[in-house]
Amino acid sequence: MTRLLNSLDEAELLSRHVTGDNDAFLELFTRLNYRIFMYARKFVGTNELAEDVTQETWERIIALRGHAVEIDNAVGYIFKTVRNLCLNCLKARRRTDYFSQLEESHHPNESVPSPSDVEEIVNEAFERLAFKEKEVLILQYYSGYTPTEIAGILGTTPEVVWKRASRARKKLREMVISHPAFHLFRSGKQKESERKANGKKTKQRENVSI
Amino acid sequence: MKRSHIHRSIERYLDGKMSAGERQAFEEAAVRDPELAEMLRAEEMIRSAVTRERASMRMDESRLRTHLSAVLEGLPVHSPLPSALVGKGAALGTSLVKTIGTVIGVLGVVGVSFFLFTAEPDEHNIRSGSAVGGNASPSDTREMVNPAEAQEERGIDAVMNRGGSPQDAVGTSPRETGGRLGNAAELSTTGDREGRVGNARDVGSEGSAVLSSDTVRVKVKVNMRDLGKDGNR
Repeated sequence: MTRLLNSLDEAELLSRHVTGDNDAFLELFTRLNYRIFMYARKFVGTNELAEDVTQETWERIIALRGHAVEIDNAVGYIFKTVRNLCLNCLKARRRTDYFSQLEESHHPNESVPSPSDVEEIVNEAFERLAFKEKEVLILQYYSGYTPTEIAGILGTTPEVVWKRASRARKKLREMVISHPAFHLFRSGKQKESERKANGKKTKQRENVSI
Repeated sequence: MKRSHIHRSIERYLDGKMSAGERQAFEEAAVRDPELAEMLRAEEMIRSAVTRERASMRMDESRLRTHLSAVLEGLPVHSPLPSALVGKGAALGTSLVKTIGTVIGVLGVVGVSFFLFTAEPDEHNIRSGSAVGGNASPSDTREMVNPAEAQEERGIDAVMNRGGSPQDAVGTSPRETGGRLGNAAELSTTGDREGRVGNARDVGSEGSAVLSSDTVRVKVKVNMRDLGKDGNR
């Protein structure tokens, strides 16, 4: 049975689930849950909210049971559900977050982030991307889909996805470079070469002293 | 290196998709070109940030799995739907169900209407009357209210059970009944077993007369054996 389910694609699994097959649902859950969570996590920002969105998504899939539904692009349908739930979540948060209610740590500040805040710089740049560009990168970087799979999910061609992702990465790089703190950081290779250079100088000094 | 190629080259370099020669040429170009070096550094930062962030994204999958399993077990057991209602046949199945539902609905309405318009009112539960016979028009109707109604019912009972005066069957006088049932009384008093009065629909050979108009039918059963030719017992 498990082997049979493994060989089915997501559309067939969803179709089986709708007709009352619990195993098909669990197989679908196993395949997609992590990817859904990562997608939601990147959009909503916290593990707790992402878990809520993920749970709500699966509950909606369960609610399809017994209904006459025709879904050809099952993964696309599921991710569309996740996306809508994420957007609802963000809207709700925007409505309820007041500056006075925020913790001090969440207040915006002018200070330059410390060199350990690489993630913060990248995240800031990420947030400034257009939604479609961000979505493509999230599906690729966080959910682990290939451009072809993303094209299937979004209902477009792999070429469009590839172009969109390239454009998004390019923008992201440019935004990261234009960040005030960027020049405080050194790339891994630079650090390595600097370390090597420093090591050579130290050895030379030691040799000279000897 | 052309600017349009820079981004692609950076990705190929970091993805390890360059040959050894290409790699060396790219590294030499990065040393010479500060812009390329910046881009390379930015991409490295992005990749390391994503890797670290992914590692921090954790969820309690077992808790969710348990919860969803409980939800699934709590669902009512569905018998698998007919294939026509699932998948590609769903549209066909939906229209079929709609058609059947419509037909059942129409038949139900027709059935109820037929019942309502053809059922005869209970002879002891007459709530409205209309002109029966004479020159009364169908619009000449009025609510039969107590005490005249009660008296009329008593009169009918009297005729049926005890053979009382036909006058009792329809009220004290034609005026009291609005001149409507007076004709029925005349029918009874004359003992005309087959006569038709006004638009009385039927007078049975055994003395059961059904008087009707467009809006109401009053069924008066008269035991003709109890009546003489002149309408008296």
